Amino acid sequence: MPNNSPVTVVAGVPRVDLMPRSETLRRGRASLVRMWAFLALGAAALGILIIGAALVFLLTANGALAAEEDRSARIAAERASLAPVDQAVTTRAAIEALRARVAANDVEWRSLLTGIGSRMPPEVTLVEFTLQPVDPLAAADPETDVGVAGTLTFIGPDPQSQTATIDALRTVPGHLTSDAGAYRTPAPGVVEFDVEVSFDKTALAVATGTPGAG
Amino acid sequence: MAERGIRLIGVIVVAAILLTATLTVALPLYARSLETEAAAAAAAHVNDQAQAAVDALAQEDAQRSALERGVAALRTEVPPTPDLLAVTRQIDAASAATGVAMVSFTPGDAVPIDLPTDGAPQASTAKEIPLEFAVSGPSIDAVMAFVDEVRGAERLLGDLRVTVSIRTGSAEATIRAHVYDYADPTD
Repeated sequence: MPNNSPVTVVAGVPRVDLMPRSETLRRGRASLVRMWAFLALGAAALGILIIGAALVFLLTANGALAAEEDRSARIAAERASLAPVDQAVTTRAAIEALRARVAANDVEWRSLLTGIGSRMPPEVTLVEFTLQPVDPLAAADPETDVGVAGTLTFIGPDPQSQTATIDALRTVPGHLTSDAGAYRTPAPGVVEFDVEVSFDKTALAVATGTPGAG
Repeated sequence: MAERGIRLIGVIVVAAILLTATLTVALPLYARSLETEAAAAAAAHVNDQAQAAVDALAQEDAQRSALERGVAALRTEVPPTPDLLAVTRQIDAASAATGVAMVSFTPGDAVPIDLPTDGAPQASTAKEIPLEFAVSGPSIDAVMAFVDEVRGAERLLGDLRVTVSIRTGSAEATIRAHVYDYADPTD
């Protein structure tokens, strides 16, 4: 039989709880307040721990940033001591960029004109031309994009010479487009006519691997 | 009733302490640490690149005399000043070598140009100077030989636009081209 039930006590010294009910309640409240006070202290400690952890993160990050700033100062100093080399390298890069720019539009003039001259109908004479490289800096397919374009002026015996000349031009290596331009008759039996012509980038020295300027 | 009040106040106090600590102190600190970390990472990236550039320079420095010889050779192609005297000398030499006669020489104003370099963006110090010169030769071949001589000469000469007229028996050529100068950046 459990002996903590007052009703079933049959032996021993009788015990009576003389504590007033209000006091029991007061003590209960006091211990509850103490418990919450401890919990609050615990919460404060936990908060301090969390803040501490955040602070550690911040200090670590600050340290890393400071180290990188030191490093960039060291690199800047090293770079400053290499300034003459830096300048020479920059100059070299700039001039090489200019060379590449020039090489990209360097035309193989003689082979281009030989190609044109060799295909002309015998009755037709080239009397004037203006040719120049086109859009030299665009990266392009050497066989489909215009490398050189301009106007060719011929003299022939009759207006049909223009058609014959354009047909002949279309067989020139590297030919891309050619079209009829104006024609004039400066004297009887003499027809002077223009042909607008373009050649692909194989007309450029860079496409044939021929050393260009410089 | 009173115990419920104590519990309620307790919960509120504990929650207030935790929320205050985390939201108003720890979280801003953590946010700042993330920002600082990101800044440090960015600085590290920049530094890595700068270090690589400096290492490359140091390597060039090790072969300084070769570098200087190379630049000196390139300087004959693109001098720091327009130096048109060198250009006319070169064109005169080409005309003498190919038997064509110089008719005219007209330089234009230098124009700054942008260069695609991998260095830091800086004010362009490269300039192109337009030239127009005319020659008269016995044949189209002689004129084209002259053109080849000019484009193969020491001073870099590009963007040639060639007009040749062979109406009068001689070949009259007008050539437009660019020469270049590049001043060392001063910083």
